[in-house]
Amino acid sequence: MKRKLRSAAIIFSMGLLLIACNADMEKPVITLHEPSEEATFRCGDTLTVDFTVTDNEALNQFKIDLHGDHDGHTHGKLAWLFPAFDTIIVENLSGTTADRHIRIPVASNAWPGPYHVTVFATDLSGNEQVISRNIHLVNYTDTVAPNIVITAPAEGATLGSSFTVSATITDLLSNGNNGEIRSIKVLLVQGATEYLLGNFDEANNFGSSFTQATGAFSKIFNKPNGISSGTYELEIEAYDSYFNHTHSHVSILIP
Amino acid sequence: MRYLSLIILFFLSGTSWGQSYQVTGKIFDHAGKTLAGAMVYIHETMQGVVSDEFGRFELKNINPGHYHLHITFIGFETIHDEIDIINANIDKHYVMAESTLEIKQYLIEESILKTREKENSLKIEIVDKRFLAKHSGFTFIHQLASLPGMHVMSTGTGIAKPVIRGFSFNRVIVADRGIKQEGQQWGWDHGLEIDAFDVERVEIIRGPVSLLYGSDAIGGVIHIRHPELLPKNSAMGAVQAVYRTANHQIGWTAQGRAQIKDISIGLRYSQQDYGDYRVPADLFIYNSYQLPLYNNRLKNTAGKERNFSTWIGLNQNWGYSIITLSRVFQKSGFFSGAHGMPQAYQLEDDGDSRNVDLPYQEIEHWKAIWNNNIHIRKGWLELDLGFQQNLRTEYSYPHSHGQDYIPDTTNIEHRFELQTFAGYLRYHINSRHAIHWIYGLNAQYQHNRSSGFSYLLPHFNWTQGGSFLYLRKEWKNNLTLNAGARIDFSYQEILRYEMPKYNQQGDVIGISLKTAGFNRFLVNGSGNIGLSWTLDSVHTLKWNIGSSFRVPAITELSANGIHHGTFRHEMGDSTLSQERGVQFDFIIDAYRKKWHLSFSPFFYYFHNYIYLRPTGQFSPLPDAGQIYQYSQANSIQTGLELQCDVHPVKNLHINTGIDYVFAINMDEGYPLPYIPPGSIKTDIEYELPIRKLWNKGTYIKIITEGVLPQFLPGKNESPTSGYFLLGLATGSTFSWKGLEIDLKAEIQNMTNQTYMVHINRYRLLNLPEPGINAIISLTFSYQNGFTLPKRANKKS
Repeated sequence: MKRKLRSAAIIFSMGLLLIACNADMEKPVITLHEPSEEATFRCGDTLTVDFTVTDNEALNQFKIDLHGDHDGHTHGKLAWLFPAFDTIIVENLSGTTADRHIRIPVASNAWPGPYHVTVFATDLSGNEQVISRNIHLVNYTDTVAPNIVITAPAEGATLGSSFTVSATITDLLSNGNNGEIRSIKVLLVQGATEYLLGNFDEANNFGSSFTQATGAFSKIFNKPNGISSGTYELEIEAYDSYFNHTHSHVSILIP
Repeated sequence: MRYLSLIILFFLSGTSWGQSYQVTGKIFDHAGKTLAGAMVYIHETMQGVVSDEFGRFELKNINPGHYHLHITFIGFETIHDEIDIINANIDKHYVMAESTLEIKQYLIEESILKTREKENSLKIEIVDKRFLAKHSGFTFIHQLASLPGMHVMSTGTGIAKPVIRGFSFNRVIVADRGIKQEGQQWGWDHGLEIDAFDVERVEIIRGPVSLLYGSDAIGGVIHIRHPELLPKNSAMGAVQAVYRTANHQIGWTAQGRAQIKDISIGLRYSQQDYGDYRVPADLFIYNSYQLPLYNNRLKNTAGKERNFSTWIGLNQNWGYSIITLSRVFQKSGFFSGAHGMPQAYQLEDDGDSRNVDLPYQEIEHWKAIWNNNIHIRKGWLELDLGFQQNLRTEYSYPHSHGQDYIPDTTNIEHRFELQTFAGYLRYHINSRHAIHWIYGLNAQYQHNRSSGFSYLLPHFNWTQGGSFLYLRKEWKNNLTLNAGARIDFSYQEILRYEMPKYNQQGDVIGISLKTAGFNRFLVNGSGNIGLSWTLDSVHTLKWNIGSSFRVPAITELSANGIHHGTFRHEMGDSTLSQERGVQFDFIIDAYRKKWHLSFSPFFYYFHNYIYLRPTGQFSPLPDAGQIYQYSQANSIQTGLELQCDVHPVKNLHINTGIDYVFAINMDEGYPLPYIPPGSIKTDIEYELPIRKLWNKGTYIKIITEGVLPQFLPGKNESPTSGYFLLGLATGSTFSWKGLEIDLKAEIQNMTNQTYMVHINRYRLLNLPEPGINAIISLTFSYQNGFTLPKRANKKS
């Protein structure tokens, strides 16, 4: 028994020794020179990620993960209306020191707002280091929201079981063909309660409801099932392709 | 199924032949006064009677054989006795001692092995209702964590997994009434689907028991047993309510049970509702960001549970047959920053600390278990059959960035539908003086279907089975040999899994192949040999040498995606071979009147130990670092447990447990991941010497837990600091006629320490554990006998 214990103790201490001598547990060190924390970039410009990474033994790879820190609730829907400037770059490294200046062009219509820049680095034995920065993307090309004028129903109107909503929705940069209005939403709102009547966007279903050239919007809606009678706001919300948005509403009565 | 019933009928008819006998006796207290109302219970048939006003009991119609008797009475120490009925009636007198906190030896015949502790070489412990009542925790696993060598791996307060001797996930088995619990053991944030209120007797085995339980039983087994049945013609009802302040948890349960002649029934409903848990911190630091914790709460860690279970059984002199049906439903939120990298907007207070928002999980676990124990000639045949359905759904917002675009139409990230059929057959030939043999057979079939917008686990079918032979031989009443051998097979069918690829408009533009599908067939043999040597009335020495094995789990073979439990892109390897282990353990037990000491060092050597190896290659998926590939290496896991009960003066009891685990990957030379640091847990309990007729005991307890820093973390794990926790508990039991009232109060983490547990899920985010937590629990139970209407009595 004693012998077994002794041999166990020997293997045990050998294990400890192995750790001390053999295993590389040291993570690479990343120095991120650029961008600086809370840096601001213009859409249409170039973002430079400038870093130095070192390791005690041998570097293996780095990864830059750039992604929007926008409100996650609308992320899925808006992300494809407004191409988020999400980028993943993975490249190999070698040696013990590497300097990288990665230039990432930012589309002029990229989705503005807060972003995270994360730089990861690994060494050959899988030790991983990570460093992150918050940056902001600002849109200087177009900062003017669309304009909405609701023409029907009229303020104070009583709605029937089906009704027409008409409006003129225009944007500063609308030129008839490029389609600068990206999405339109029609809602009935009473306090915290919302009834979505319709959601329209350029890529899917503007169809005959909206004409970019004239800004004319017209659509017949049915009264939502189970809606109780009372005064509601009929609201139209519109986004342009630079993420500027506005809404306009009229008070109506559901009998 | 038809054949099965025929077989059982055959056995039943076979056993009714021959003469039967009776066991009678009288029960006294220490002063020689007869005790009325003590319960005398035959373990094998689950039959019980209550002693009458003269202390007499009578168990009629017992077939010849070997039986274990338990005699229990509130306020007294339980008596255990073994009897052999050969060709005559038996009459015995028993003297019961008043229960105090004196040192007791465990009786472990609950175990598949049906032995007393001294005869068994394994480290087995039985945890009963009394222990569980005194150890409160957020979940059932938290309740067991006060034992040395046992740790909890938790995600918030509602999700917990067991860790034994540093082993977890697929290396620890939880069994319920003989059936291995099959859920999603591989996942860090996939808790155990067990109703904490519905656990009354638990057997804990530390060490490898692959021999008895098959693959996966490497670290040990937590086996939940069926509660004891009531004495003939009696009924009980109980309600319990618990409140915890750290997460404003309100839990309650109600149960009813009856034994009408030979038929027993039971019914239980329980529910838990808890809010976001409170931490003694208002910020945490992740990836060098400082992120806020509003109102000192971890947002969206609330949850709920809705559970029920019911059983019906028949027990007669041939044994018993019990069918149990249960359902556990859990809905629990994940900390808002726990899926993907935490972002500040997600952490803003939503004004409601009890709601569950995305991301969250829903688990529904159904179980139908049929337990049979049948007396056949000289032995007992145990047959356990089970069907389980584990439905697990994880909800979150689709991540639309990166290369895998996901349309916004569903929040179901993962859904796993796992069905498991299992059967265990064991035949015991047991008599007091000869060799005890057990022949065992078991088989299990699993069927899983996965869906959801992310991929982690494929569709699979898995059949496995095995057969074992075990024997126990005793010499001169002080030396016992336990030995066994086992053969197993496993056939895994992993089906091809494809997912649609979308463009930014949400149109399907192709498919992405996640796994090509493959089949695996493995055969394995393993064995165990153990010695238990009782040197004298004080010392017992035990040795075990055994081999264990584990079939690679489905995730280990075929994962390919981000496991949110670990934040890692995990990649399976379909060529993994099985994990083999050789294990040695040694136990010294010393029992004295005033102290008990148990010291058990253990040593495991693994060939092809399966672990997640960081590859150094980055994942193309957003929010993920490098790819972790399931790989194999030789490894060592070693450590010790030390348990010490000291009873210096009457009514005072000091219980200390120490454990330490060291685990190293021999090929790479660095520590294995998820190893709990060493700890020392001490309970100092004092039982007040006031004991009125109606008060059956009051205790005060100081609970401390000291944990060492984990300075040998796995690769890319952060070292975790040590901490010291202080708690205080008190409880009192009142009993009047059949009514029993149990009141308990406890304060955990009294000093409101900010600390992190190395193996917990939220450790990765540097999130602290719950702060000061006060618990109050109240139980009412009523049990009484009844007389059946005359017509029914005549029949019997």
